[in-house]
Amino acid sequence: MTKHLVHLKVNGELKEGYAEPRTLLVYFLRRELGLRSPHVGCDTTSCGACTVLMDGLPVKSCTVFAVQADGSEITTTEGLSKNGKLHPLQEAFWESHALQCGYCTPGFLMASLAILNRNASPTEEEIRRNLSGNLCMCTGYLNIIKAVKLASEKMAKVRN
Amino acid sequence: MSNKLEHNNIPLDSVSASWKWMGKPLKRFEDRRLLLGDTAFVDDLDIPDLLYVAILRSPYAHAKLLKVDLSGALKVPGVVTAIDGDTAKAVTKTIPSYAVATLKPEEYCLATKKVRYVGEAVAAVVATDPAVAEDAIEEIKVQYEPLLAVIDAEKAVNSKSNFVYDSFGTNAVGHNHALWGNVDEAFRSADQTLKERISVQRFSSTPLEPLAVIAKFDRFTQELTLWCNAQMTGHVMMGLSEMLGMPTNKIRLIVQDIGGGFGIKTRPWRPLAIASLLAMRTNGKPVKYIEDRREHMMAAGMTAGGIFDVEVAFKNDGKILGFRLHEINNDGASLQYAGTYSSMRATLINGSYDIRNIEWDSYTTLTNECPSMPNRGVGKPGMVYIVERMIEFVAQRLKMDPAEIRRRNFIPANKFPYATPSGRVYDSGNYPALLRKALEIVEYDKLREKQAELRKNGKYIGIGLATYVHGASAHSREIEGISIKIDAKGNIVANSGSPDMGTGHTTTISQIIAEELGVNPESITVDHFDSNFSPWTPYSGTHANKFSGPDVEVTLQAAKKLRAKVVAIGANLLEANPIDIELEDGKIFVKGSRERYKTLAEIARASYQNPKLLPEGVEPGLEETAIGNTPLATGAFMTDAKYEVGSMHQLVTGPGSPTSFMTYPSSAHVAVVEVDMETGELKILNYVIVHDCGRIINPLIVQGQVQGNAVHGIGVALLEQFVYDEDGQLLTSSFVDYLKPTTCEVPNIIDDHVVTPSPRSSIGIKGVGEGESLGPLASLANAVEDAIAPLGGDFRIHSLPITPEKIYELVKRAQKQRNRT
Repeated sequence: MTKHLVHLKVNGELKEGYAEPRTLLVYFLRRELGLRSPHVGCDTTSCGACTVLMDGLPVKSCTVFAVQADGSEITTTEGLSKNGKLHPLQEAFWESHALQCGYCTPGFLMASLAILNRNASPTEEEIRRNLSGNLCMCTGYLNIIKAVKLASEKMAKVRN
Repeated sequence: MSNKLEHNNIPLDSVSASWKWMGKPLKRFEDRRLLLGDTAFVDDLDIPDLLYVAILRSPYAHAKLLKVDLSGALKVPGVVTAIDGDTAKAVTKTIPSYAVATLKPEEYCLATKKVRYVGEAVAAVVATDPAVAEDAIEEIKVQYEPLLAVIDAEKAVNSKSNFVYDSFGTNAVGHNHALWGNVDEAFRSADQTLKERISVQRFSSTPLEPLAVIAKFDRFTQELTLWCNAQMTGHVMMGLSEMLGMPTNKIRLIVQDIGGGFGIKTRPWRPLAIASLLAMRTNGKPVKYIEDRREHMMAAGMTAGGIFDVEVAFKNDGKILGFRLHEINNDGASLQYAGTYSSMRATLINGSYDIRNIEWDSYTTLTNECPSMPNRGVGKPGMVYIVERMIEFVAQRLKMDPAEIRRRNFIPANKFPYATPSGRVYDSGNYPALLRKALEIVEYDKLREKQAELRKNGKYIGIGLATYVHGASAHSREIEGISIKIDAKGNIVANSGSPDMGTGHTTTISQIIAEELGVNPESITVDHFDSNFSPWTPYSGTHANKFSGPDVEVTLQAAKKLRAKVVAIGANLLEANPIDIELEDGKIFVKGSRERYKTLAEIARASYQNPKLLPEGVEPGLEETAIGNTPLATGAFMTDAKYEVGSMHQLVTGPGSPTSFMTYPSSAHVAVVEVDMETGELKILNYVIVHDCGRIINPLIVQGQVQGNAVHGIGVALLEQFVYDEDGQLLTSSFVDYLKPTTCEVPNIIDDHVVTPSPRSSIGIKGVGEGESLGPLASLANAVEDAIAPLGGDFRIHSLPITPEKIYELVKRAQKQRNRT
């Protein structure tokens, strides 16, 4: 099958690679660009483990073709920390015990970041509604919801 | 509520006063890596020269397999090799059965002669690219002759023809019958009896990471290396060695990150054997198989379904005298785990109640559905559901408060250790205290008043209870291993036979070792499982809440031995009496003089590099391995169980059934729901859990287990079900059809504790990985019936999940009957 050159800016760095027209963004990121954080859990856009930010908006990267993403800016969990220092959102997940096996975590982090980017202090209702496209089989979600609230407080402190 | 640590309702008696690191809600050490995205799930591993596997699966539930023609696939450019059932049959042994011994297993990792469920693996292809492998399986030509699918478990039990396995001559592959106490007398002396049929559906905890394996075979050394996400390392080593006819020392099993297991990943025989066979045909190149979600739902395994007929004898004062339970379990199309859902039921047959007269008649049948696998509690959710529904039915009949009927039947707190009618011995507990605390938290009496008030205004809230025992810390005969070493530079590294699957092993093991060796737990490394380095036994693995049992015991044993050695060497170097030595902050002190110390690194240097510095009788090296069970659990042994024990079970434990648990944690759940009588919609207003898991090593991790467990139980009660049509087609093969709870459905859960330390654990703990998923099935069904009770009549939830549709129909039927009368 013919392959197409795909250019992306991933976590601030320019990257390129070849993709078949049928290659999904998540597999392009994982197999061509060597990222590990976007995980595949369902194939039906249900679980959100593959969530990344594409030009600032959360997308399930199993439902975007790599060629569709050509020229866009992608943020993944690998791009959250700076020089080994965790992002306040990561710290909040850690302190709240918002992860167990960790397979869904990168997707939840990116979906949560999208919420906080849109509204710096979301209500519990807003957090619940906007995370309902991500599945977690381990935690029961309560600590994830708690973590996003905590992250919003932490990020407010950083801003002030 | 004053006697609490601040962070999350952990009562102070959950920790021992002498603990420094245990009992603390430490953030998990494994999390930093997981949060950074530096994960080592199978699909993340950097292994060069990978080839990719795709599996062709049966579209039929039941069909003769007439011909498999691989030639088309082999012609696809990029395809390296392909295999079918004939290859598997020629070079491997059958998949072992775990519980059924009377019948000989006939299944291989790929189907031969017949296919027996939709999704059964028929052939497998290896190619240079995963998409090419997927393309190639479409070029395999298979001739099937469809047969009538066996789907109705009740019919299957008695059928005289159309068998899932023709040679068995029956679909009923297991039958347990027991008569405990005097059941006839109980029914004769009863004031009343009642009879109901209830059922549990087939479901799964559906780990988010599907089954995954990379296999590499070295032609010269004849060594097979497997990187996979299997939970039960010991079973995999033993079972695969049998199936492949290879000695265990030629199989190297490496388990790194596991994306959730819940039991479903304990025995991934088929993918492991298929990948191994393919790896032997690729000139040394490793092959990778990652199951997709649809494959996982069709074929990875799920719970056994159950139909339960229960007949209860009771007095007008609410005292239950006895019951008869007739079960039919649907274990799908395989002997691999068949019978275990049934036999597990006997371990908790009377729940938290002092009921002595019980007849148990339990059939296990095969059908043309996905084979059963263990899932969070195996037969326990069903047993809790049966007992907690039964007691509710009796309360409803007697118009007695559901809390009061429980109090009248509880095993009294002063009766422990308590031998159950089925011969198990509960270690400790205080069930009335659990209920009392849970009712206090929901303000039960006020809530009942509020309920009556709201009913007048056309609002219907219901309160549902479940007060039950779990059974945990694995069976008392299970043995685990761990090695702990202080290396020559003073680094502490532990290596356990049981892998971490999000369960907090790394942190918890570190807390236990830190306690003994007087170091900061963060300084300890816990390595992933590697059969070449990790001490493993046939029962090694993460399953059955086992960590709280043998895993913790051997960790303590090895750490104590290591401590003794460190103390002996330290005392010698400091010219002090070993009795006067204290360990703290990675240093060895003489009591009372903090200036006189040696660091662990100095002790290590002496131990590895200078035999002259060692006291007499102390060998060089600082490494201790402990392999053992739970010595204090001897009282929990079952000696006269009458279960069938299959080849796998015999292989790993020898004859005789060890299905008796080391610890028996307990819980009281209170669900408060609101039912919309117009639409059948259910809203959980409040959910309270008070549980007793004895002492607690890490409260943060325990609370995480409580919440995750409870939410899975809520999913089973309200949403989840594998649905097969009459032809055996699975109608729920994705998360679009198989509904899981999301952030929008989960209620806030209040959790609290009662602590009765287990006398079978050296540190008084009990298991936590399964228990809270058992309660919601009954608490929510009970709550819904309580909500619609004002409609009158005898309208009951007979099946799960409790969908709005079912509630709506129940309400309409009740209203119709009321209008008639």
